[in-house]
Amino acid sequence: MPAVQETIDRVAAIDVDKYKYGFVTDIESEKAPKGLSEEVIAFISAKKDEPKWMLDWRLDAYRRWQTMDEPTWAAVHYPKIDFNDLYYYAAPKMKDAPKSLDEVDPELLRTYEKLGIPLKEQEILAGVRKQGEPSDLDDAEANPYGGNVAVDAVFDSVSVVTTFKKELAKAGVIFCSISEAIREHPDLIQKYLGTVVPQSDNFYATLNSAVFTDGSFVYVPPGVRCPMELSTYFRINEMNTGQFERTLIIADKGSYVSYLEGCTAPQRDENQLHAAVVELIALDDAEIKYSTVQNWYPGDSEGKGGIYNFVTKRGDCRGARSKISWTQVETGSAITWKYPSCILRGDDSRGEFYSIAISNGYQQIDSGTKMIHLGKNTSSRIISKGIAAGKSMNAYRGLVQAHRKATGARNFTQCDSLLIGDQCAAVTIPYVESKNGKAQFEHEATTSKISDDQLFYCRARGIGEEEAVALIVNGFVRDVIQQLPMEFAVEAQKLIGVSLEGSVG
Amino acid sequence: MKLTPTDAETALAALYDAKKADFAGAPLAAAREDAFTRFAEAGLPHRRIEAYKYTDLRARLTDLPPAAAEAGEENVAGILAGYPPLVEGAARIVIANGRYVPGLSAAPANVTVTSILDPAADLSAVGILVAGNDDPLTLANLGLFEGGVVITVAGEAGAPIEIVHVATADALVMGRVAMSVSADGRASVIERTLGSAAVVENGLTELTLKEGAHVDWIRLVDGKSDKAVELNSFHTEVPESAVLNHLTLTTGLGLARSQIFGHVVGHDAEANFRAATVAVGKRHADNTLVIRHDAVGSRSTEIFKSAIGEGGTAIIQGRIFVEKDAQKTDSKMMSNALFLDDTGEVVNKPELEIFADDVICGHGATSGDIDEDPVFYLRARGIPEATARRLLTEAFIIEALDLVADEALNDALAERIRTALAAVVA
Repeated sequence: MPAVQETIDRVAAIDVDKYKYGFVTDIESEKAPKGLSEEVIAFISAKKDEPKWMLDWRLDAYRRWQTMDEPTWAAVHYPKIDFNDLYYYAAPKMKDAPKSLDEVDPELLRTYEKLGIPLKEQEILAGVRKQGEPSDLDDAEANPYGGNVAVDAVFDSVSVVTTFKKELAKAGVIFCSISEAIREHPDLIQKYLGTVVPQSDNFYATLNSAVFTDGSFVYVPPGVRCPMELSTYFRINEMNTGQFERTLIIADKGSYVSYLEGCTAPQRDENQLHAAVVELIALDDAEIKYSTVQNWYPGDSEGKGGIYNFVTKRGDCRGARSKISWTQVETGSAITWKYPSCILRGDDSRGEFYSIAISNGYQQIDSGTKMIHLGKNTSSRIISKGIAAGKSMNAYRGLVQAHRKATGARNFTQCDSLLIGDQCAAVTIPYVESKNGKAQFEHEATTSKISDDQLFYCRARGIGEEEAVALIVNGFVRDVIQQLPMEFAVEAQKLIGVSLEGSVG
Repeated sequence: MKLTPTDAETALAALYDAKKADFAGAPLAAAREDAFTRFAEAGLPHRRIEAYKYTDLRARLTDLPPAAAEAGEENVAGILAGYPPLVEGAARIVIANGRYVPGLSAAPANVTVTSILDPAADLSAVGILVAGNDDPLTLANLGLFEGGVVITVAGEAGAPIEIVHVATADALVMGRVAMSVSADGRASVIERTLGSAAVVENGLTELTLKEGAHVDWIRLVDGKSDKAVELNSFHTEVPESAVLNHLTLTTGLGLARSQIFGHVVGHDAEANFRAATVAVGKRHADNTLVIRHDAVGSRSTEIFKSAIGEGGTAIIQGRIFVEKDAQKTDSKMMSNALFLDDTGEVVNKPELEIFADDVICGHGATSGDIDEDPVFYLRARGIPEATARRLLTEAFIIEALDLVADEALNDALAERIRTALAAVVA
């Protein structure tokens, strides 16, 4: 029934206007001069107190970027970006750490509150309690790790705080901002940075290599199962700024880590740029689970404003029997351009990609994954669900590739699209390339509206129409939701509710 | 950024300049000029052009042979004599070196055939389906075609039609076929190429159907040497209640790219496309298909079956495009590829682009080697392993012949598939 006029009106009437994280925090901040130049890059590097090799690396990327053209192949359309009309660095001015909740800048506190960061972490984020100090809110003895999520909060261009560092250090896990890692763990950075997403991998990754300001760094030592979920919360606050974070996660032999990222931004009429790079490295028998709940500001109902989300995410299953799993729930951004990928280099390694992408209003999504099978007996699984409503455009673009030596490689891909209303579009563009006869690839895709039969079945059992649609849609995306860690599954369920709320009359 | 012209591009530009005087003032002269200008602007397609990512013609067409001269009728007759029509009683329409040969052609009842260059030819349906198309191979043919035929079918064609392209020399050949079928008309067409082994062919077909028409079209692509280049663009429009069944059977050697641009424009229209490919012996076989649904309640099915071995490459690009108003479209695409050994390469790119919300569209793609379970099943029944594998492989490809109703023709096509596979499957 979604094609009835009432539904279309409802979808048009709600969708992107429902964005609840669109507030601005009034906080004094320090910025780099507007525009992009070698001086600005040197400014960022100096602000971060970086060694010279890092600055050289950035400048090298910048010089390469100047020779590159902005890609135009994606199924997204937007006015040309003036890269010199942006601030590449903006950081809230830090004051002395407050001693009690009363002393905390109320604006900062309110920001965390509105973003829904759990209270006990909020306390740490607000700087009231240092890590390791007992808290009234945290019965650490009774439950040393259970239910805890260590958070790295990135506000515009800087990491504000990282929680539970000491607890993690006890297990040997390094979890800190990438700026800190460049200073404190240069050997690891030099060994791994840019080895999965090379400096000049693509236009936006190269730009990121030149100007990245912060992000998270994780190193899990051999044989360690990271004792808690790690999480980064990205927030763009300032006007006219771009956010360019860089995340590097290394799971050493036999280790395991689950990492979550969330992101929001204020509601503004201008478009803002977010160009991140995420690199994951899994060595022998290691596993990385990377989950994203992407909820950047999507623009208003006229398609004005919103974040341009041009992200390069890639995991390298470098070791034998390693595993990398990407799970993403995409509801935000005016434009999304991202393809979290796995290079299955190690024999018997495994890659997974689970995605729900919901587009509303004038949102444009061109997203998918790449599974590059290089090693023997490597396997991958892709489950992608796209839901398009309003006047949005939702494209899945994916590559599955078996190289000559990838004997025994297996892939299963399923991508489904659901259209709500007749003003939106769903596109599926899979590339399935095999150079090995012993590689087995299967791909299937369907596009359909919510089945009248299914709706009728539910309604005949006394379920209201709106509830029935929610039930069917949730069933449709269940495969993906199941892959999310518990805390985020609940959040994702809510997000789906928001995006499709009122879509049926 | 404009690339420096290759030798082939320069040769094509020179060819156009040389031909220009011949067709000045002819009815299609302005269309030729427009098409070739657009072709020359972009040049030969290369891997950075998305549709040609896997078949880089700029890199592969390095030394183009000269354009074919007019063929002697006796010479053509000699070639034809060695190959009887695939279906008994079929009427042959012969196009030699890109030019219509009326002396060797026959038209069945209800069919008229005219040279496309004949001033008396009815060109009302010529060029309509390709207008605005920016495919480089289509544009190159539109600018450079040597000749061809305009075929009109009024009612039911009295016999099957066999369109035979003959090449008498290792030359560049660009012929053109324009066929229109009246309302409720019927025709069965087989299209094939005979003659020279190292011909570089860039053909173009426009098939216009009227309401309720039914056409079965089979195209055989069987390059005779690894120097053969067979490029073809088939443009069609399927209106209300019309049915088109199209099959491309690719065997042989060399480089082949078979393009289909289908536009389904009427309610209850049906377009079915099949492609059976045996890509062995370094064969590069590219099947590229774009289907656009533009009417409420139309259907299409696409089935691609490919077997790859001995360094062969199969490229399958299928794109289903459903326009905003094409509600109730039912379109399904399936591409299955089977590796015969460890040396081949297959690319499946089945795209869906949907702008209507009440449709059923799906696609599937698989690749891998033969399933061991049925092999075991057959062996358990006393069939030797080699025979079991051969039978299963043949059956896999022959599945694409499902819409060939004529039994004798179906057998003849299946035999071609068996012969092509025999070299690799013991």
